[in-house]
Amino acid sequence: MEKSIYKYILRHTTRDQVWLVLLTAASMPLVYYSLEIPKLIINKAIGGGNAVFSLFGYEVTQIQYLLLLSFVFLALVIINGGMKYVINVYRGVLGERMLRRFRYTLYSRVLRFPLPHFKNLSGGEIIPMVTAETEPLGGFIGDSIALPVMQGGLLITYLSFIFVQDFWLGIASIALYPPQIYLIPRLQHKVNQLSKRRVQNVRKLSDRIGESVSGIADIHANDTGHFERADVSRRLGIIFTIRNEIYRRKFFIKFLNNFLAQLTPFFFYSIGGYLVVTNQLSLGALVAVLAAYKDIAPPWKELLKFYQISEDVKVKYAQIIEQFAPHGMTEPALLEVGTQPPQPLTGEIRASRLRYVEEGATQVDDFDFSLGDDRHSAIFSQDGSASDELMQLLARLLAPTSGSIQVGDADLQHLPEAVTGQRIGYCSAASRLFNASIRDNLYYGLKHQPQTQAETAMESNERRRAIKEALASGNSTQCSEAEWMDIRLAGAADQTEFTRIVHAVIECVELDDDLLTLALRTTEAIDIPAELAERIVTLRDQLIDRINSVESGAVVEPLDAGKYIHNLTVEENLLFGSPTDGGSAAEFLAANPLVGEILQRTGLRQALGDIGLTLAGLMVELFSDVPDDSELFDQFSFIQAADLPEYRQLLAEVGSEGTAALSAEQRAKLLAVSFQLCPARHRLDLITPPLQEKVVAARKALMDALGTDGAHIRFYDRGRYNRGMSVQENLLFGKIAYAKGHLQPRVTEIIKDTLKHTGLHDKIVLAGLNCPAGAGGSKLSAVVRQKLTLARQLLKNPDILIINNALSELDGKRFARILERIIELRRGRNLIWALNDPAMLPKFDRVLIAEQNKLLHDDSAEALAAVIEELRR
Amino acid sequence: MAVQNEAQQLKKVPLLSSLDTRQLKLLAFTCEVFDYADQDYLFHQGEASDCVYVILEGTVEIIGSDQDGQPVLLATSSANTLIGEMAVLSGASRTASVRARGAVTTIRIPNERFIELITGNPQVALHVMRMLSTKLAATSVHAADLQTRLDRLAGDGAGDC
Repeated sequence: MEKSIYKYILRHTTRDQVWLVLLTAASMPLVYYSLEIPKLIINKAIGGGNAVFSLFGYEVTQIQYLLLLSFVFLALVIINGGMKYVINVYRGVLGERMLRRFRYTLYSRVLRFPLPHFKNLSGGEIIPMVTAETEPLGGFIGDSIALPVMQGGLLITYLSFIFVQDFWLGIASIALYPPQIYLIPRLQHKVNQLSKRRVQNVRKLSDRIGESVSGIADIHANDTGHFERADVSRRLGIIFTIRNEIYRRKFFIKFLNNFLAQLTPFFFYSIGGYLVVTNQLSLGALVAVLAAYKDIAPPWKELLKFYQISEDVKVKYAQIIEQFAPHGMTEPALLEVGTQPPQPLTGEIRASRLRYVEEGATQVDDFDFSLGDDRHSAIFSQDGSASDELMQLLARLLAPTSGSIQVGDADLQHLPEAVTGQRIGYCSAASRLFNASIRDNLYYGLKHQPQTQAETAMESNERRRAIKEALASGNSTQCSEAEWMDIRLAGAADQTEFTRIVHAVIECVELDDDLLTLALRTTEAIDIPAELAERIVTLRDQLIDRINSVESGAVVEPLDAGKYIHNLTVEENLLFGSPTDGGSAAEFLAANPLVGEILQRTGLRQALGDIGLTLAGLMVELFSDVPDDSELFDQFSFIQAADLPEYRQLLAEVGSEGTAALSAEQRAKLLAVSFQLCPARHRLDLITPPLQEKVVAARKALMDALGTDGAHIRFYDRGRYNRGMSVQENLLFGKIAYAKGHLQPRVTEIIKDTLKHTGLHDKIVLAGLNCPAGAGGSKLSAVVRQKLTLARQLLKNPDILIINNALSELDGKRFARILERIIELRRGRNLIWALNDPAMLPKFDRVLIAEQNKLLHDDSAEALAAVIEELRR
Repeated sequence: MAVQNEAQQLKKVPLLSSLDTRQLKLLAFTCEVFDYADQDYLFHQGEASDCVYVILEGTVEIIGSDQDGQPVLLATSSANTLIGEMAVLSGASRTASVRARGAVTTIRIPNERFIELITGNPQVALHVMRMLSTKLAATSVHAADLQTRLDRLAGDGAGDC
């Protein structure tokens, strides 16, 4: 990257900068005339007496002359405004384009960082560098050349005018520039140092906050909130002190500037006055010089300000780019898009004199080995050392310090990433899931280049504009919305075959059961194909019959439109469906005026309001001593901790009059509280049978009023699939009773069994892929996350498959089963597995055993039988 | 209100009797109540201990296994008793299975809530200590008894030589 911001600006925007300067220069005469015309209007058109004016050979009256000049003035104002608008937009666009380019360059460089660099680098530091810290650069880039040229030009013009009037006055007017030019950079230098320190400290602060966010559970679990707060307070203090110092110095510079600017007139009065008195200069000239001097001050001030900003920006630029040039970045050539799909990576894998040193410690010391491309190799090291680095070296995630790894005839180090990333599969316990659906995560290894024409993804005109703009900023023009997935990479010729492969992979790592459970339980709207939804509906009766035949008692409460459902909340009972906009029942009920009217008519408003009051009283009684951050509030209370005092106040206001004494807003709040009540769950016998009847009647009225066409609400309907409910609820068309909550696992078993018998099992497993994985896979268990990262690599169907202790969360039995299956799956193809369970070693053709950083054994599993036996003990 | 009744019943559980009504009501309100049918298992031997149960209604059978792994009825418990507290305190897995005899209603107190109850209420903690001491004393007496019998057996054996 360019070392100085000016080099960077010139390299990418020279043409634009020239245009800007030309545009600015072109606007100058117009500015001049817009000042000149008013003078003409006042002096000549208004104050010139009733004369006849000659204009381009025509004679015009005074009024005509006045009107003509006024319209010329108006035209100039419009043209000037227009020019200014064009220049400002141009400057803004130029700045934003450069900002886009700069951020893109920084991000691209992050993708080229060597992996070990990330050990000392945190997201908290790097994110503000790419986002917030680059922000002022954009604004500056638009001004970087045009502004000094323009203001400098003005200054020179005015100064020349003064020098023409009198040489000595000219000298007087610039007499104080040398001390300013000497002093200010020195003062500014100190300010720059301070802003450098400020930037570093803000980065550390954001790093610290980032750490708090990711370690939030540990902060609570160790009660270290005060300690953390104190640390943040100290850091904020440091930033404050630096800022304080910056302000003092900055304003001192300002003071000095102002003072010096005011000092110049002193010279004019004394020297100029002396010259006038001694008749060496006319009074008129002195007045003109004083007037000209007034005009000099703004451009000079602008130039000084610009100098200060440019110094500040230079520091920021330098500080950012030094962070984005670590040693050992991937060569850009290796990341280039090839025209051909990469060739298979076959042949023997040979490591010769392979060494890897990190931060002075030798992790891999002189390894020599060769692995056949159709063989299965296991790498074992007792303490996990060496094997982790070795696996990353084999996946070309790390670069050897010395020695080499050859695959066939190719040196791994010189292969493009398109080859290593597509033909090598690598997963470890640290493999990351992205915040997308499980499907997107599973298919992540198949998205190397867009497969469809970008136009299909977006309106083509819009897309063309987007491409043009991306090119102007040197950004990628590939469309992220296009279809990127290439099913051929998974070895599939068509969609049917691909689905079969996906199934095989899911079963291989035993994800099917997890996906099924996720699909059954998730309440998030997952995409269920219409045909599958129909078949789910047909299973309803059969399933309930089966559950009732196996379990005694009312395990599932059916959603009967004519009955009050005890396992639903009051609001769910009222609405008896799910809002089509995906919002909650409570939001819908609160926002719909019909609801209020129906509640009023059925007398429910009063009755439920009273129940709300009772509940508020109970919550205040029960939760008053519960700590505010307790999970009990979230899980059980009808009122959040922060709102408790408000309700305490409300209860005090009620007195003997009941809810009548309350405001409409307070009554609405109590109503909302009562809506959350679920009789079976909360076991509060407040919804009496007569009240239940009223709720059912209100439900009917609401249904009639809203219409059953599903425009606002998808009502629960025995004959229809409801996308607002989970798949399990759709299968049961009912709620598992709270009192039978312990039977949930057994009900799930019955459902799974029924699904298997009806052939729906696999379809729902696939639907489970639509569940969101959460940030970093947080919505999935650690076991599911690891199985998913492994499945992703299997689906890639790589030539070399490297599994780096990637299943550490799995129990022994499951691990052994999956290992056996993968060995079977990869028969005749390469497999390299780093593991720390010696019992598994005999299952591999070839076993490498490392200790510390040395390779101790490298032989067939049979030859090493005795060593393995020793390790197992 | 059912929660009110549950709270009154929790008061009858010796370990919880020192808690005030409000605490018991909060406990009842924030725990699940399960209805078991005859022969339903509350938990099985060897499972992880994630909660304790208070029997509100009915009787449960506590079932262990003998040397051959065959189920053997160890004891029965009825209303107002606490089930599974030892395993929760020691963090061990379930030492026996528990099965409903006839219809049973229980209140399920999750681990964390139970530990909170003990650590937050000295009276409850004291009760737990008493309970453990009593069990320890009984075990010691039992052990001493066994030792005596063992010694006697050894003595008899020596006499035979």
